[in-house]
Amino acid sequence: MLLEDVGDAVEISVRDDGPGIPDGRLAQAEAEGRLGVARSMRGRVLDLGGTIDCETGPDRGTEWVVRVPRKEER
Amino acid sequence: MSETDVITVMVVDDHPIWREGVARDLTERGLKVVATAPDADAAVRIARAVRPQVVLMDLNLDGTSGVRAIEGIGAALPETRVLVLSASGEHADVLEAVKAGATGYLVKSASAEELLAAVRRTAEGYPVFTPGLAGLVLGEYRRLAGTPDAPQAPALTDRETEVLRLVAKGLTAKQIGERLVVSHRTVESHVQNTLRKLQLHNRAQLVRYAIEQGLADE
Repeated sequence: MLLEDVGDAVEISVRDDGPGIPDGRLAQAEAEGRLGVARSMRGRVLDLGGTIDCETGPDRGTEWVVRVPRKEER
Repeated sequence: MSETDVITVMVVDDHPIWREGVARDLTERGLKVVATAPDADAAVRIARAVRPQVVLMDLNLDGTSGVRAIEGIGAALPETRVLVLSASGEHADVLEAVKAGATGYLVKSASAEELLAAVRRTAEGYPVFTPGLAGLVLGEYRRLAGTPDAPQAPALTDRETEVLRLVAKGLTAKQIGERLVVSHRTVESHVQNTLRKLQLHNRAQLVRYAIEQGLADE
């Protein structure tokens, strides 16, 4: 985990060295009504005016990068 | 392995049992411990005589500072690398040691295997950089860059910053190389450059301090 002050935003990244998330797996979960990533993670960050990205691939692990602006958007 | 390939090490620590234990461990694993020293003054004096490839340095030496010894060794023996092995993971201690010229920092909770690997890497000229250390160094650059009157604040290139962030996230040089599509040696050289910039900055600050205090007068 790394928490960084990047000037106008705060960035948190969470990484593991696991097998990675297969292509389409997250969309499939959302289609099945499982909203952990779609709503709890992505939705909350977007509500704050931030961005959330996932960097993953077979045997490359998974890294989530959440960036939230420091000032509240009006 | 020929005689010249054996890595020569000096162990500096104020606790005799720990010092001898580390020296014995390294010897049993095939390194050549050429000297030990209990304090900063002895460390610099003995290092000049035996010219080890690697100095394994404790920071808190019975009241004297390992940082002073790191600077002394760096000034006298530019070829010798200093790897810090300290009980302290305190941010200020780590940064001071790196600024003084240490190219690696391990805490004493490291395993014997980690220590051996770190000494070998250090002897090869590579920085021994833990993710936590990379995070600290990154924070220090950002702090210096944000200080308006910092003299010659060191600037990292975009690529160096990117590499440092990936190290801080815990990626190995190999993983970083794969992600950025460069060789792991290129990654190592970016890390080395960032360390050198911080050390150069520290030196510039020391010189400025000396001038301000009148210490550099003839």
